[in-house]
Amino acid sequence: MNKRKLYILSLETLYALTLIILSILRIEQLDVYLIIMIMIYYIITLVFQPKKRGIDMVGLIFFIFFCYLIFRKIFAIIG
Amino acid sequence: MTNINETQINFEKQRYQILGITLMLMGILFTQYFYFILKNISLTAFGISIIIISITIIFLADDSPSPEIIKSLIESICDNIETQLNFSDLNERCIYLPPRENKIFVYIPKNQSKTSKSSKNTEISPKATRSMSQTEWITIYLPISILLLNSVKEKSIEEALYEILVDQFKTIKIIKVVESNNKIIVKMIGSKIENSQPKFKQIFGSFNTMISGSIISYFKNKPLVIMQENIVNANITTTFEVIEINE
Repeated sequence: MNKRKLYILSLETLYALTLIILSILRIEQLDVYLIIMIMIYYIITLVFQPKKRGIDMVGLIFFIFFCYLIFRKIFAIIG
Repeated sequence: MTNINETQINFEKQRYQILGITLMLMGILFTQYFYFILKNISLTAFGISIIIISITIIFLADDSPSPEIIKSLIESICDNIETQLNFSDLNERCIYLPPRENKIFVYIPKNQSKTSKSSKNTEISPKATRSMSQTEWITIYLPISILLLNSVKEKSIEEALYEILVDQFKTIKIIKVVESNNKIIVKMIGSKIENSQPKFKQIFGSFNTMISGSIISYFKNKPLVIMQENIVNANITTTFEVIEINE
């Protein structure tokens, strides 16, 4: 199995595990799911370092979205 | 023929993109259905995970060398060996030897008419019980061997051949292996490479046959000869015979 297939398979497996565990824990906040999925994406990408077309678009979108979620939480706590 | 090959290569390149786009559309539909109609957060997260994976697949680049690079690499290897063979009087089919120190060697019998008297009575057509010491031989090291042997460990013959010829080199589409006693028949369907080197073909068989022979000799750990090679259009059927050495 090549690196590319292993990378996708690892991502799928960890996402499936995360969804199952968080569903069992009855977590009803979408933010929690998203933050964990974004972190899994970064970790798996760092481990496998797959070759991407141009810049890492998914990583960039995730980073912006991650910042948005974090700032939203901070403002909710401050406000 | 060339157009068909180019279409196949393009389709293989786009295979992941098609899969990614299909998954993304499904993910978007699922997410909207789960979030707005079912109002289930876990299932919505499932839909989002599908979208993430699909976008990841779309933006992933193919990490294997392109078929064009592999094809030119193979052609240069075959040309180099052909040039070497043209300087010799070798015409007989080679014997694939089991690897030594991770290197694949082949024995090529020297042309019978020019060999010594003692070797004249030896049959050149492969016989399982033939004694190798009676004929003069030339040993050739196949430079492709390191690439081959590192990929085939802990696999069956068919899996190893599939891994090398279909997945890595992309020189054929389908491969089937049938074993019977000391004979091994390899059927390779949809060959994408044609050998233009006559002497190479005469001695080693086609490129796909050469790779198959090298890998099978590694698995069997015994010498191997090509009994027959039939090439019809892009389909190759090769019969190998494992040589039992009398000790």
